Amino acid sequence: MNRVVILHGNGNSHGTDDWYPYIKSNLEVIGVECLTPDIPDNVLARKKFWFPYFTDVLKLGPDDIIIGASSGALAILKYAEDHKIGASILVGTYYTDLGYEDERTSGYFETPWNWEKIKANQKWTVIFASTDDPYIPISEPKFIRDQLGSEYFEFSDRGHFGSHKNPTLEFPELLEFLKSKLND
Amino acid sequence: MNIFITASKSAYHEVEKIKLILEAAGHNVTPPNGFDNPNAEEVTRNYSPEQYSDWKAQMIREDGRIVAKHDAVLVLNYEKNGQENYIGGATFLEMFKAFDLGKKLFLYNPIPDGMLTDEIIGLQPIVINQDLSLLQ
Repeated sequence: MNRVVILHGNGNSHGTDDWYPYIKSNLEVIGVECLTPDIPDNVLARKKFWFPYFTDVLKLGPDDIIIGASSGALAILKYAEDHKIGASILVGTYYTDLGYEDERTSGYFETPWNWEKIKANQKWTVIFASTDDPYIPISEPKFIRDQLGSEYFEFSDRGHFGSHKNPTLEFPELLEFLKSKLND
Repeated sequence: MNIFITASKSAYHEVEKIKLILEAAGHNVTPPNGFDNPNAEEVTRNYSPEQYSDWKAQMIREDGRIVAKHDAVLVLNYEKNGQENYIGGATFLEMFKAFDLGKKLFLYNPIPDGMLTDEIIGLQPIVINQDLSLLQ
């Protein structure tokens, strides 16, 4: 594996938000390429705009470790049903529409989840979750962990691992985990 | 698709180029209201306050009628006077009209930071990051 790609969330998120530049700069120091793109349709993060971008622009493939934050995690889960990727790191992840209309319009919930295919299309998955996440009940990442057999890191004080009003600028646990995987 | 382009006057120099690209892709494109007479507002500022107000009201109503005739609104939000991805008041009203009428709403560049950021997020535009092929 030789590339890391960070997928931001919805709600006007960007590739420069939160801890993404921290991960990118720390990886580049050790010679690992890391992309932090601004993905189109960054308000609703709809599948119909994101998947062509993954395929045609980012050209995601089996050599990529994908870090998905929030809607970015949701997107890469669904993408892995039909595409080979290297591995995925899921931060603030979920698998239901959480009862929100905006989430329903994203296009990720129109078909049932095929967890076996998601698992088979990548080497490993890991989840970072926090019990005080204001948007995601902890039952969501736990369910995904159980379906995928993911490695799982649970915190009690990280919220949604960043937000526009209260950004999280560093994420050393994720960085160290990633470095350990890159050294495998 | 019938597309109405809207932009600040400072971005008018880009309109013709974008229009040609979209027309080549098979779209019907209407340039911004006032595109053919960009100095009209400056002229009307010399009118009385009442006349200026009437003229402005007429333009806002006309903008709404134009939005209603189209399938989509494309906002060319370029940098203006150091403000990245600038969206002015008239453009914001056109965006709201598009939202209100259920039209597709595209932003050429990201949502600008400023006092309207949250409201623009609420209009749920499709940010295309300058990729015109996303106008579908």
